[in-house]
Amino acid sequence: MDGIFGYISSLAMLCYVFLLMVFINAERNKIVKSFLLILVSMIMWTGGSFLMRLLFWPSYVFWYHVSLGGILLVAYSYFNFIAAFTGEKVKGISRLYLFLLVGSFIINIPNGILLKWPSLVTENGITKFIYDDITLGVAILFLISGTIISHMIWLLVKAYRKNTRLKKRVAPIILGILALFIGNLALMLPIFSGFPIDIVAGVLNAALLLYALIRRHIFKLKFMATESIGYLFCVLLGFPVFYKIAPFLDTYIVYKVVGAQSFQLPIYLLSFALVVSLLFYIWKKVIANIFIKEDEEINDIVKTFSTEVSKTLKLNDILHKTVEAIRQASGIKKLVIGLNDFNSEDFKLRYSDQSLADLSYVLRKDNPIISWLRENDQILFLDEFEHTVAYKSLWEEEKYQLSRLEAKYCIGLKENGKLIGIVLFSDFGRKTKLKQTDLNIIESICSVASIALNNAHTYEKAYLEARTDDLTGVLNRKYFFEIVAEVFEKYSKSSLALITVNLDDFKLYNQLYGVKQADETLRRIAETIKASIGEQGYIARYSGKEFSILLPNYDVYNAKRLAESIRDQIGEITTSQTGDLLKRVTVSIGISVAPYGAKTVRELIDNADQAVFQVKRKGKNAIRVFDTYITSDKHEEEVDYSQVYDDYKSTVLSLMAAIDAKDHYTFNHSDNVAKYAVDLAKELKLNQVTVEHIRQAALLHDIGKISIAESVLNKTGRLNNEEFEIMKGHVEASINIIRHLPSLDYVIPAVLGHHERYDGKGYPRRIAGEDIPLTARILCIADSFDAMISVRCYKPEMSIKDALRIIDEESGKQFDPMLVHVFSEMIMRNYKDIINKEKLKAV
Amino acid sequence: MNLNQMLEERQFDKIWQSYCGFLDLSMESYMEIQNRLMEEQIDLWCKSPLGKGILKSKKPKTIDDFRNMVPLTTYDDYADVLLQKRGELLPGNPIIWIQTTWEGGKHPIKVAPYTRSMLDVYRQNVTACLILSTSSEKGKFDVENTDKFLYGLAPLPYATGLFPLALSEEIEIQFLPKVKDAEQMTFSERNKLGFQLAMKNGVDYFFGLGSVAYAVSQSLAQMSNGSGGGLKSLLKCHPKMIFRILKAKRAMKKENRQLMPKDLFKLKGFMVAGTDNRCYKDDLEKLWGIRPMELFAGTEPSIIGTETWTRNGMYFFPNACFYEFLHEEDMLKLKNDSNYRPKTYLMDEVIPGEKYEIVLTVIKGGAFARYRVGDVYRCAGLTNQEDNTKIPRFEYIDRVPTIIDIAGFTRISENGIKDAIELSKLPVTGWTALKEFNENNKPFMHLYIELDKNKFTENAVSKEIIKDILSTYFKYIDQDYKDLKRILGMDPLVVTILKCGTFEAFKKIKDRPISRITPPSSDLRDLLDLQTMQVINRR
Repeated sequence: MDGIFGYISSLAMLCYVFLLMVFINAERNKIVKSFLLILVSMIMWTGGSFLMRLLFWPSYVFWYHVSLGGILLVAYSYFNFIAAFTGEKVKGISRLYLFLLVGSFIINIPNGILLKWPSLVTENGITKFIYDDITLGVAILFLISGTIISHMIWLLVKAYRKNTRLKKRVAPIILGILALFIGNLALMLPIFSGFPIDIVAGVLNAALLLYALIRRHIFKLKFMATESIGYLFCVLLGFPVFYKIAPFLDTYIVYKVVGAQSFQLPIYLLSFALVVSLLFYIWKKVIANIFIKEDEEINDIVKTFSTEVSKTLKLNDILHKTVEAIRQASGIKKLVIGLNDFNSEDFKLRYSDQSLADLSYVLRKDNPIISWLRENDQILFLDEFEHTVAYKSLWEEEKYQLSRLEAKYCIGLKENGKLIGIVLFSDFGRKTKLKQTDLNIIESICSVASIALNNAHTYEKAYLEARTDDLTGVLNRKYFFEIVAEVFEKYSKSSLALITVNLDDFKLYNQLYGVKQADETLRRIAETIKASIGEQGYIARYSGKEFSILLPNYDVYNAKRLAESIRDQIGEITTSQTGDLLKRVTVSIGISVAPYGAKTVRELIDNADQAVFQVKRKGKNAIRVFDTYITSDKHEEEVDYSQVYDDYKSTVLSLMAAIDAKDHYTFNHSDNVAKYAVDLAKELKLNQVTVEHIRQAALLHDIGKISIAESVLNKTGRLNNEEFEIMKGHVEASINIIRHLPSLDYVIPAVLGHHERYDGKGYPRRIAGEDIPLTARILCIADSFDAMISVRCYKPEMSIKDALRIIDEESGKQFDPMLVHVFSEMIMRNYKDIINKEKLKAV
Repeated sequence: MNLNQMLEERQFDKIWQSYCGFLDLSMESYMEIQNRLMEEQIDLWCKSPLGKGILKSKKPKTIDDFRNMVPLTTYDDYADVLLQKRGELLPGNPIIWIQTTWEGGKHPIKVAPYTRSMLDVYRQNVTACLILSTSSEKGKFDVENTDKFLYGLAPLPYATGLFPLALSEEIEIQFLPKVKDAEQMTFSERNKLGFQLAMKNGVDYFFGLGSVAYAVSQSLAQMSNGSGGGLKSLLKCHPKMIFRILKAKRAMKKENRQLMPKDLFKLKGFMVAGTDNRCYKDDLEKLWGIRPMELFAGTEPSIIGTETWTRNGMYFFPNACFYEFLHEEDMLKLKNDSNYRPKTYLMDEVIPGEKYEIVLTVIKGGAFARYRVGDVYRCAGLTNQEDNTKIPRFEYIDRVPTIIDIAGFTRISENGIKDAIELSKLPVTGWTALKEFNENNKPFMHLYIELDKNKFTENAVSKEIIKDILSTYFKYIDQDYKDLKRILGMDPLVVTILKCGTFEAFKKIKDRPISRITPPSSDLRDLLDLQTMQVINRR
């Protein structure tokens, strides 16, 4: 039985010492500290008892006191452990208990007044300890310990009541205490006579406490297997092992080998060293190797990853390698990487290890997760983040998307302190939760990835910037030429279509709604075209208001159908984002298709331009396919302009009636100007659409006079400067009225420019020559002519001949010389009779 | 992880950070949360048929756009959709509809929808109130999941009924009586049973309207006499309570006073809501030995503000609503000119000492946008060294001048008074009403009336008769008014009969009639002064 006692005691001691060494390295908190105290007291108890039985130096009485001290300390340390575990505050009472225990222990040392040490009796050669001097003093020890234990039980009951969930956590501790109690009671049973059941129970108790701590995640296991602990543990283990080997050494070597006796000590030392080395070898193989091997593997992964990603600038390659490296090193699945978008600065998900992952989630730049990652360099634990104030500003949709990603952790990819990306991941794919070591490795991989991604990201940004249009995000003209050449080479023999979409009257659109809205419309048009062609072709902003679409494998029929669809969609952009009504955008589309209509890249582009030009010449808002053989307009879609004008006829008439009511002269004048202007336009062989524009512009050119006071409008004398300024304001007033009629806006250029002079001295914009729209120049001459030959309140009528003379004198000054010539001839021809009558009258 | 779990884990710092962390926000961070959540709400609201209807096809892109495009709204703007509970027209799916009376409205009640996200925010914020009510300083609080809660507010479908439900999702707190049992009881039954249970096992929190808490506290002596008198009932009590009862009886005898709640209960947290709390706070502190913490909640906005351990001004939760403030001057202008488009101020634009009517946009899918909930606050300060806060705090002043709110119990509008007078058939030719406070600092409605001098011979028109008749009709048209007397024992009406011709004289001199409800104090003074002037007699 002594042998068994020895083994079990040694084993228990080893367990306690091992735990003590391990926990000394642990992060100290109240619970860990109190657990350490339990271990110390158990070591004192078990060790003291063991060494007492061995009659170890200095004396068994000394080891008795150590053992008794341990027993007393067990009660105290247990009490502290329970208090810390349940969170109860017991600082004052705990000190009192310690004082009482230490006091009674010290009092007991000299004479054993409370519990006398046992007597050493030898019977039949067997040494026994007999407690033959037990007095009532022992009751004091029982009373103190009993009080402490009762208090401890009360703490447990209280915690149990308060917190029902604590039951599970406290259960191992209660079992441990029970084990200890039963173990000590069992000593009294004859069956366990000589068997250290109390020590076995003590070990069981320590194991249960350890289990309780592990369940409560009080410490991390990583720190356990350090090399120094390994050495210490092996040396300590070496003693009992050597103790058992020593008799064999004596029997088989020292006393059997001749002369060995004189080397007894070196043999012992060498053997002990061998035992320790062997144990340490086993330790390294069995325990340390687990960590080290793992570390090496992980180092390899990080190293390989680092080398690989430094060799490439391809973003997707780096993303793929990053994800793979994290997966290999940590065993997790389901991770996703988001990168900072160049334009919006939002974080768009770019890559996932799950091929069917939904990457539509965008973390806006003001997302609180992004803000947190910007400010912190650690891993963000999302479940912890939920308890911060910042989380309160997360949108419900964002929370939903985040929950769909099932992410639990988020790491920021930073380069030079700037957040360039994020990695979201969870424990998915692992049997256990990610440990700190795993997170450290992921962080290492991410920091390597950050550098590589930043380089690739910068490269991609520069690459894209050089190739895309800032405003619309489609390809720019320069890069488009490269693409056309490349694609033409590949597809020109099969089929390659080029569609050029030119926006009609976009300068006017700019004037009407401002540059900001016009840019927004351009963006929307680009989006519309992009959405229509998808991955089937290329789109570029060819010029300010022109988009080119290159479509490999598209023939004339398909290209035209696509063009029709795009035109219809663009036509639907009639409201701004703030809900204001906008003029309908019309487009002139030219299509050129190789090989049918072009044999070279230049031809392909030129022909599409030609087709656009033809549409423009024919009145815009149509699609034309360039055909070198067919010159008729069979592919052209003529717009029914009469229909368009009919729609707004009533508006024009209403406005005319309004001006008539206020100033009958202006009404008649506008009508006359329309007649002269239309005649002049026809004389100039302008197309039907332009002629119609001029007619409407002439009818409305003085509509702004509605806003001018009648005193100024009908003043008989000469206008003073102030009045003249007011009168000049009618042009702006006209524009302000017409601009609210989006469908009549095409008359604005003519109305706006009809008081401009060819020499640049007119108003309101003081533009000159050809900068003045032709329609305005026509209107100007017609307007002046009618004004001169009409009777006004401030002047008599002028003869046609005189009027034409003045017009001629003003040729190149007020009027376009080319128009003066045509107009004079036209009037002379059309009004021959009147002019003759005037002549007669003059005579 | 809810409060229960965090308490079990003893993660006290985390609890504070999670629920009360908003008190540490800087003004900038506070506005970041406000703006961000408002952007979410604008998106939801503008897409909803309700929002589209009010916006009339406009599409705001920014918060400024939204504030420019959406007019200030009242319940009338939502009544068609909400009263029919047409959830499909709302920005978010309503989980529950909360009800309240609609003072002066075209329908006796109004209802407000709550989405799940709103309830989540509500849950967090009521938990914050619970924690703060026990706090003694920043980060220190005393909440346990075995606590008991005496709850003195109305059950569902009123907003106050949400409180225990939301709290039960966070913590296994015990309500006295149980919420399910309480729903079936009348107000006084609930209080009686609640106190009886509290007498047996103690109570840790009390929450009620300030006025109700005061009334209930005062009647505690009777209730405790009923339950704690006999030895038999004493034996049913917890030993701690037996000790307290005996101690209380000794104190009563010694100090020759009635039983006070503080003799029996040691509250950890005491919360009050509603109006006129400032009239009751001091008395309640004397009665319970703990100063009540005021919080602000409403049917439409849910819970939006709370005081802290200093009990010195309320802070608004950054995630419940988007707050705008209408200056007092603009509020009064708007009262006289409904077409007036006033400027509103944001939380970072308020000025200490100024009074504002609050304008709310309920976020997290709420229905109400730029909604005039009808409450007036004074900005008490932009920072507070005592609380160590850097966000504005407010003091509740009263309801808007168009409403007379008595003790948070009943809200009387101009129309309500007009109806009562018309129904009474009294020969009233002129009247104006306002809220005043009596010598005990308790609120009442003061109605100044003028009678038709030609009808004196036909009607009995003594002050008492008029008061009784009008009280009868107020009770008839307003259930809450009836409850004032029944529950609080209050008679909130005081009638003053003015000399004949006073109102006409006022109109003649001022060239305008006096406002019928809550007239400015200068106008009232002038009106009363007019009685002594000869001008009336000469008429």
